Amino acid sequence: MTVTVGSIAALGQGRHDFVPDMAFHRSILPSSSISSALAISVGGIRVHLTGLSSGQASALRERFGIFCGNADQAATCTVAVTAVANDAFLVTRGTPAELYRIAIAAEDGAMLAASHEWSCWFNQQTGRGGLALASITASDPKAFDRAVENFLRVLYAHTLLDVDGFLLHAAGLVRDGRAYLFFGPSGSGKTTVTTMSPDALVLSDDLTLVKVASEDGQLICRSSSVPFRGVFAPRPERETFYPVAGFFRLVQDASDFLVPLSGARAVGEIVASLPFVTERHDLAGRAIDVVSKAVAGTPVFHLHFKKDRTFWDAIGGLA
Amino acid sequence: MTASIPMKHPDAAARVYDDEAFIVLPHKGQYKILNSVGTRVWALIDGSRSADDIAHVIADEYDTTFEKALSDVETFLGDLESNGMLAGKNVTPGENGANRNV
Repeated sequence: MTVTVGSIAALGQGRHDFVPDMAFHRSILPSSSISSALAISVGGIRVHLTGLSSGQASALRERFGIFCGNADQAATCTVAVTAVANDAFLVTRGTPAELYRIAIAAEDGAMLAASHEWSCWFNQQTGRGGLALASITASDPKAFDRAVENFLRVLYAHTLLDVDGFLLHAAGLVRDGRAYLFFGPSGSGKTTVTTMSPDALVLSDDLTLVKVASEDGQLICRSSSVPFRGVFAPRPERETFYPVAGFFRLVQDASDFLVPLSGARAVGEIVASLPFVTERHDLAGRAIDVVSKAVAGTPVFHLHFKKDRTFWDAIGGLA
Repeated sequence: MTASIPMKHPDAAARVYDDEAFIVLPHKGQYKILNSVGTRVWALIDGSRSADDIAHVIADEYDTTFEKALSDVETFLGDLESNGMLAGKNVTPGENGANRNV
């Protein structure tokens, strides 16, 4: 991958990946004609997006529903949204064209990230950040939605670690009041187990939020939906956390059975399914520690399954 | 290899669980698990011990000969190096432990 960190000279050429550095972001002047602000709250992390047009704010309210509110309470972090002249930051590669790609970097304690239509910086210490939107987002509402959502995925993947939480590439399904988290890379079967579970409440078929808390001397995992929950999950009416019955690493097989995992293997399987955060060496250790807490009180399994709903029978003993 | 000082890659994040180490290599986007002896060797890689030093410890703790331990340690260090788990440039200790490569 050809990634340039920092060269403003590459701006707008559209031939190379360009992950802007802090000098680039500092050079962006806020637009004076737009002034709407919006709060987005997920898992106790409250993000204020400032500098939005009223239309953009309305579109985000419609898209993210109960996770949106007015920016009238203290924010965990405040992100200035600005439009820039770049037509793209990362080039679209491959034939057929890649669906999406995000590059992560770091500079002076700040996270830097960029994708096709946006780039950002965020400093977790100061709670300040910026989101630069490429020119296409002004004329293409879908590009705007996609840019903001993918920025929030990156931001929340990082900031949730501060509150003993993490985003997991998982289908989150609730049965009898408990969340079953089916995780693994693309193609492992997250959508399959979701569509094979018509009686379950779907938290997400893509990214699921997990938070760990110490209660009465025990580490308890709870899971909830997020604004970016995939295709099959309904819009939640409230942010509800469900106790996690177990983590299930999906393994497609000819029969259904569970293999318990513990220690390094349990932690390793989950950490390998965390988006973004293990790409930064300064966060990887923190991510491992939070996941270690999660698996201390919640079982982890390889779920070998065939493509029908009988996999719930293998899990039945946990219910 | 025996005269050099192996060093962990500074980006590697590792934790040990029940004698097995889990290691994240952010620069390579990879995840590794070491068995119990490998985990012990990993713990002994501290930037001051040579492969000889590590092999002496392993020979004592695992009831094997120094020669066998050294062979295994050198092979294992080679595996770590080829997987990007060690710092790119090993240093060579000089007299009194000074680093000749500084």
